[in-house]
Amino acid sequence: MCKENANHEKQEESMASPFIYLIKDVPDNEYMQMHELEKLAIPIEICSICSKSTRYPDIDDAFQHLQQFHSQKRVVLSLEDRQRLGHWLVSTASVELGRRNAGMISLIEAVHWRTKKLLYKAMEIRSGVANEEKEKPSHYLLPSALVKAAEKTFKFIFTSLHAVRFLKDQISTAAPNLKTSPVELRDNIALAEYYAIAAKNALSKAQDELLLMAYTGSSDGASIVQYISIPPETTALYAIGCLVARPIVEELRIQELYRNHLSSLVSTGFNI
Amino acid sequence: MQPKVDSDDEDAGSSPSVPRPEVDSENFNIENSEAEKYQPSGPTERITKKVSASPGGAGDMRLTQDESQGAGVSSTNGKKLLALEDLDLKQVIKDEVTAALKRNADEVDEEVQKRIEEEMRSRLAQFGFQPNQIEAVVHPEKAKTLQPGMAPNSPPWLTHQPTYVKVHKDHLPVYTLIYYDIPYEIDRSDSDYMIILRELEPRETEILFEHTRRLRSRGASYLAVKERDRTPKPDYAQVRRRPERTQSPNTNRRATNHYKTNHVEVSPRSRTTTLSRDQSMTTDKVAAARRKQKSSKTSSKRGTSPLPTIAEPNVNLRVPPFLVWPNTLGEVEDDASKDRSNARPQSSGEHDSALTELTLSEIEKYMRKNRQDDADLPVSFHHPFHTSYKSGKAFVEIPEKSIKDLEPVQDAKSFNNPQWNQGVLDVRNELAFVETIREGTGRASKSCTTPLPKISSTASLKQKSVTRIPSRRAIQWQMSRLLIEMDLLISSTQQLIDQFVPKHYPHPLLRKCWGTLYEISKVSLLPPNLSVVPTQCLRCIILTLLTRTR
Repeated sequence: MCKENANHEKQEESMASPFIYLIKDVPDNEYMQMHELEKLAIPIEICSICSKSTRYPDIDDAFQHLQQFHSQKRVVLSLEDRQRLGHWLVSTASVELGRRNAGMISLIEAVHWRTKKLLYKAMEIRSGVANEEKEKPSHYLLPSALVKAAEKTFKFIFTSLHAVRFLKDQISTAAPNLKTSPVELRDNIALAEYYAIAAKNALSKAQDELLLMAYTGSSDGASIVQYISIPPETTALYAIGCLVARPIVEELRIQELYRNHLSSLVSTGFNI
Repeated sequence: MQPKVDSDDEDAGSSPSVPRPEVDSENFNIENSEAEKYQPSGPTERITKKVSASPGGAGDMRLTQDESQGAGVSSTNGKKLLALEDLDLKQVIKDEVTAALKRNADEVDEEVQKRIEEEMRSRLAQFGFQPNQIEAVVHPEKAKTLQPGMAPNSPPWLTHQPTYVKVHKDHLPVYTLIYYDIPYEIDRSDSDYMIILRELEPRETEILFEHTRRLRSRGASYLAVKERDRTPKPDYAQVRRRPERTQSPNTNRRATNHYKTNHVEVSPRSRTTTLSRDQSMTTDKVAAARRKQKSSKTSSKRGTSPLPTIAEPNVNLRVPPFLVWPNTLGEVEDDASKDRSNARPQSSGEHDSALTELTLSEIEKYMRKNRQDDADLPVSFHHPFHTSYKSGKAFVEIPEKSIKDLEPVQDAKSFNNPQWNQGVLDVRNELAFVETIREGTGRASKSCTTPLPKISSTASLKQKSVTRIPSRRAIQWQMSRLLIEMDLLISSTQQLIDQFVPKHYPHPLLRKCWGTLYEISKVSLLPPNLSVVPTQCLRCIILTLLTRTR
């Protein structure tokens, strides 16, 4: 995505022909703060001409509109004014790119926000069970809700990759005139947040159960993860089972590898 | 033009001389045409025919019926001859008149066209149309030959007229429009209809209807559960419950019998998982404990509320991560296992590690299952996540990376790459400023006074260019925001994982987490001519840039 932006900047820099401009608002308040800009007397969003994305082949016309209507000034445009008002001008080619960037930023922000919420919740739980020595008392056991929260958290992280990939692919493969739909962006944000909300609920439930343990002093009534002790042979079998189930190479399991090996041995034996 | 007036009757020798008025051609034309128009049929009427005197023309004559009668041409043959001559003359006159008219019209047309065009241009300019738009209006054929980028996308008569959809509330609920933030208004003529005040593409429409379908499918089961639970019962646990559509009827019944549900219509953004528990009698205690905790802590908000005020992690906390916590192992140990453990004592660290491994393996195993509950996912069926989710690959086919791939690369040579300063996407100023703001709001505002570096020479050159936008740097701003957000996301995720499992724990699930972060960070990595090694951590990039700029 950064590559697309860099290519776009290169392309704009190398273009000799004049651009067609639109008047768009600046990205956010921090941007205004950085460039020491003042707010326009009449904001862009309430201007009917700008909301229709009026195009200006002549940049002077755009400056004139900004100066006379939005800044409410009738004086002649100075170079400083042009530089200041230039922050509200964007070329037609940059509009869609800026929109896509904004979409990706909002998605990453949403994922980060949910991550922070989960982090603070988990930290709150861990701090809540600590005693004066900042250690965990022995009567706190692992509630199953925390395992569930861990599972949902992992899912949340993995799902966010799917959402980001979808937008990224759309940006890289989309034709220049194809607009990224805000509805799809909304869906992808919802997808990224889906398991985060589930994880947060699981953490809340775990918090309830831990509170219950603290209140009653025992783990009765709370659902605790239970491991049954088994002989080592069973553990070894279980481990082998897990190992066999895992793909070693792409779509190739140990069983298949072993079968291939056996068949090659048999064929070698026949040849001998 | 001086018409030549002549008379054929002179040959007859009996014609008196007739006064010959001078006729100008224009008057003639009119008179002639009118004469033709009102030509009487009666023989006794006196009609004066004025014939145009075109040079070399055949009609240089002035003929009256009286004269012809006086000449003794009274026979029928003579009349016919005259009539024929008359017809020929008419034809000649017509041809001449047409030719003259055409010449005049051509001359006049050019002038008039020019005047009209000028007038049209000035009026369109008054209405605020741009020169290229005016050109497209006046000469539509020339609009096609304009340079790329100069052709107006919306000439006035081609301005895209938006088509708004009117839809019945039964087909698309208001909630879907609110969820997607789509403007609408109720139709004034029929309040059962809504007008969607935005043009929708077919793909978007599908997404909207699919969202509606999801809502309704959840709503149906929600209503069913509500219907079953109408019997008055003592108020036990108030537990939010998500209806599970994929459960068998027996499971549903069992769930309904065991758990009291509190029916709160849940928005898709805040879906809740099934909170099933068996301790309905103990929830009062939970509530009491929660009240007790709430009284001591003031900030314990949920949902979309602001983040809790835990600014700094408690570094001295010696509470282990969640999945390392002990469980009931040991209480159910049989004698044989006790003997084994006595024979070879196992350290608590190994024991915890084994349990963590088991727990993580179970989580991983659970993620590999095929799913049928994809209807609850908040995306349409066209989304690729649906396919991978149903096949069980959504959480499996994730690239694995080591946490070291996200750590700062120690090689300083990479950061001395001079291309950082030469690129078109020079985001150093923006990065420095965003970082300053972040530090100013999050911690101490010590670096607020740090002067920002000067804009690069490339940027200064850009400002001087007339054809370019002089000052807007929105793309650079967005990229710096993206870099910062990615950096924060990586550090937050590492901390979050650290709450459950030690982040350096060697397990595929954790490696997939780092792989996910690595893949996501690619969106904000600079292109090859600007970036260094792609495996570098964003934090390194940002830190290096900040070091350079300060």
